[in-house]
Amino acid sequence: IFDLSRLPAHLVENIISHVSPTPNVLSCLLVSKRWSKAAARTLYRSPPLTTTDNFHLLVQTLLNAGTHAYPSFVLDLHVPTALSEHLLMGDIDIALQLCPNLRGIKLENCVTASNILMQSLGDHGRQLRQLMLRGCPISDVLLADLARCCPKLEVVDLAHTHVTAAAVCTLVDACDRIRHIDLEGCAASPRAVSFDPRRTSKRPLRYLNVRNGGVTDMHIRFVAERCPQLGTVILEGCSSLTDDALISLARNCGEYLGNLDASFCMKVTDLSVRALAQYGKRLEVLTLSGCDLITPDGVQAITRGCARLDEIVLHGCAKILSSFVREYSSRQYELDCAIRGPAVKWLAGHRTETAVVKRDVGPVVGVGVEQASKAQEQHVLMVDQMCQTDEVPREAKAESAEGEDKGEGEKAKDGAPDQANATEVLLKFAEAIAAGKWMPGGGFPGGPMGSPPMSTPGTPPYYGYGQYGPGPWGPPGPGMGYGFPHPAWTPGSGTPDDSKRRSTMSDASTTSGYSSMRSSYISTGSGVEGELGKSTTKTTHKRHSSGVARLATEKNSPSPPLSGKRLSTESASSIASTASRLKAPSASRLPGPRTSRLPPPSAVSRGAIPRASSAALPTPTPVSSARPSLARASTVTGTPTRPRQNSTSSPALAVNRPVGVVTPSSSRISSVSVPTASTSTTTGGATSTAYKPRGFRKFNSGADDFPSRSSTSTRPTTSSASTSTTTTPTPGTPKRLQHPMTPSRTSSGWIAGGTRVDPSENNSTPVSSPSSIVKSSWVSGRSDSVGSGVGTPTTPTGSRLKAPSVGGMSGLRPPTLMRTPSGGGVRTPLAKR
Amino acid sequence: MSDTLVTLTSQEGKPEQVPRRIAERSTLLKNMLEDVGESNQPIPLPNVSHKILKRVLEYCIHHKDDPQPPSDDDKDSFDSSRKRSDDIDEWDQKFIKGKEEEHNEELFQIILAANYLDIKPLLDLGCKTVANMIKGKSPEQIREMFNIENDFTPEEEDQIRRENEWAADA
Repeated sequence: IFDLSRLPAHLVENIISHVSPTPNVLSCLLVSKRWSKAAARTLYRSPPLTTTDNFHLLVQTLLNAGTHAYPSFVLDLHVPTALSEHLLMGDIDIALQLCPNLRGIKLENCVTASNILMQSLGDHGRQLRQLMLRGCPISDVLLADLARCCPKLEVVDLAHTHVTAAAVCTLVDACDRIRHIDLEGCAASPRAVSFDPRRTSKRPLRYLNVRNGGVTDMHIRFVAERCPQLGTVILEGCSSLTDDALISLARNCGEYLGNLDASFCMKVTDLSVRALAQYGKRLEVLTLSGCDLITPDGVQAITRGCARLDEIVLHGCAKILSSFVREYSSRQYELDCAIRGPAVKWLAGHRTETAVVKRDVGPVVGVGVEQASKAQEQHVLMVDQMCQTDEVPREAKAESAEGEDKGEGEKAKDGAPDQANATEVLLKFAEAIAAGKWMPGGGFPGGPMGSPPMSTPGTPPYYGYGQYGPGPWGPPGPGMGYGFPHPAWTPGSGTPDDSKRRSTMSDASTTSGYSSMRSSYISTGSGVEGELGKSTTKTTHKRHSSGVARLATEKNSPSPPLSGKRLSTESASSIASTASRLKAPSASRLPGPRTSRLPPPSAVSRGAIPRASSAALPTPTPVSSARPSLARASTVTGTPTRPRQNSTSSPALAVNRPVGVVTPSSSRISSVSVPTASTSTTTGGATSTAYKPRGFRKFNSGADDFPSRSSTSTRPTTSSASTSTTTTPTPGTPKRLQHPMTPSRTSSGWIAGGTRVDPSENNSTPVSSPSSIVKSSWVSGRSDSVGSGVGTPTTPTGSRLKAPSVGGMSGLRPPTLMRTPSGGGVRTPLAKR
Repeated sequence: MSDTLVTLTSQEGKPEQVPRRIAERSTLLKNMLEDVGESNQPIPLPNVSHKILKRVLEYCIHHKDDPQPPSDDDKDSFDSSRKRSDDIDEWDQKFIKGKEEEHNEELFQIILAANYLDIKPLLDLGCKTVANMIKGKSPEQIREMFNIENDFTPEEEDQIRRENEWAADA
């Protein structure tokens, strides 16, 4: 009747690929040999997984040579969340080893996933195109290697993992086919973004989502320059972004950019909007909710500039809600303002006189609008740059640039072409402040103005931070410098950091050079802070500028500081002189060594500029580091938002970090070498999962470095011997090493790779004979490739794999790290073949 | 240009004139026409009988305004890996059913022709229809329906059953 045997094989396959659900495919498997193969291809292309047993049986089939070459049929591995919770990383690792043609892996919200998975993917996923590990506790330690090992990667979804913003650059750099990056909720990265002039090849990236991520302008700039085809960019809640990011996006991706969401990027101004209006030829949907600095003028400019604009969303924008723009909004409940469809065109045609009047009122608009905001932007850029290279204290930088233009010095150091004339910018900036066009300072709503700045009990009131307000003590009297410590104060109290700063201050205050140093410090600080404080009130501005004025005059004459009600023209000149002083600090004025000891306001991460300024404040008010309250509202959008973790204040680190380690960079390593196993156990389940990937040998050339894993069951002595060789480095390590090796006898047989270990239970036992029982079917015939990794005695270090974030490194390769506990953080983890 | 007529010659040598736009639903013809350029030469299609060619063209005319289907590479494999066979539109269903008495043979021919002419939507339509015929059948029934010889030994059948046990409860 219908002789299917005449059909070519690929048509049979096509037919069977449409046969679903699975039971029907199983029937096809038994029809004939030809059908069987086609059905097998269909069935294994993306194996439907429902239960753990199901998965285990599948892997068993893949392990044994079967009727068909099943492993080569597997193209996509989708492990549902319900299942992944019960899977051990070893299980997945084995599946990855077996499937040479794997093109996609999707494993979402799997609490047991760890960097081991990343390593395994790097080792085996050469054909990988889609990497979807949303919500898995992995970090970006191995991401660079993974990206290098999987050159065909196209889609990467690492949203809500522990990767940092640097991942976006890593991926763009390494994957030349990258199409889709989702890094929602990524942490801020302490690493600087490097622009290598030799690596400028473009990437076909279309989609970028870094919602609520710790990305900075530099990351976005990097991506924009390399990926001109970006069509959808979601920057919602990336609070550290400024106009720089959006302008570089508009410039580089204007030809493709269709959907841009920069909601709650609070620092975005009309400048960005105008750039989009100029370059955004294809812009269709623009979302700027909560961007308080956007003005009706800007909105009108973009409706006129972007011919395809179909929707512009401005929910809660302070300056928009009260303006004519709102009349065009499709809904007008509460804070709503969204202009859609034809209303966009109507708005473009709107004419009103009020808009002209407003020009002279608003802080950003005015006669010198363009100039002021440009200056502002460039200044921000410069501050950004400074934070980037914050290993160098700012004053040291200023010294290095001594005698020449500071801007030039910066330029020479960083090679950034954008900062051509920083001095001029600074001066313009100062003028802008003076004219009231732009309000720096004061962006700390939670900090009580002028309250005793030191929160440490027992510390005296201290005037050194008067720039934020004169305080309840009133203006300091004549002869008393604005920044002198209270006479009652004695050094030695407070935190080390504070006391260091204070002692610096008090020493410096006795010298004539103090004021110059102080002023430079303040102007730097005000730059940082000013970047924040665009939304501040006029009153804080006055206080601020008067504070600066005092300082500026103080250095010239011993006359009493100007009163706080001094008008802005005077403070303008003093700021200008401050700025020029900043430009060329003379060595004689600076009290030599003291200068460099002044702690830089930002010592931590460049992703957190708000925090930088809170470091300059004596009272780090919680508000300054917290996310803006409006940004919280973004959770309403329905996506699970996670508060961004700053690298130092992240709870994960706080758990992992040993006491006494202050700098985040060192904590990363020391959390590895200090025995904190008990504290860093997981948040996840009651029993933690430990697993060592097979094939350690390739990381360590010497065969005797650690117990050979294929033979652990027969050589318990070797492992204890190797323990003694690794004990030496730090006092911390031996303790950890003494965690027992648990026999990996598993009830379900072949999953020997993933051993369950309960660290709390076995803490005191010394290394015992790790008799790992391996089911024979597991080892048989595959002891070389697979069996070598199986049945490994696992130390409880593995349990820390689940410790979130940077701790992930600790569990990866215990032998390696134990041997070099001090510097072992950054070695290349994935073996290059 | 899209209004120009193209002459297609079927297996039997009968010419069939269609607007170029219709013919270009077939990727094979589209590529051919692009290579040849403007020419009135008839295009021979030795693998397609006249009857089937008319049926295929009927399909192409009905779907002349459809957007070109996206290529497989663009698809997100996780979204589309599970192909469905129950989303056939009404016209297509009627079309593929054809005349009752010679349904199977014609369907088979259409699939082959669609494969040859590279008309992906039609090929999918044919395959889906066959897939729907397979659904719910036991292996024996499938063999019977499509006249397939069972070339498995009982042991081999057993082995396949065992190997694919994992999928049984999926």
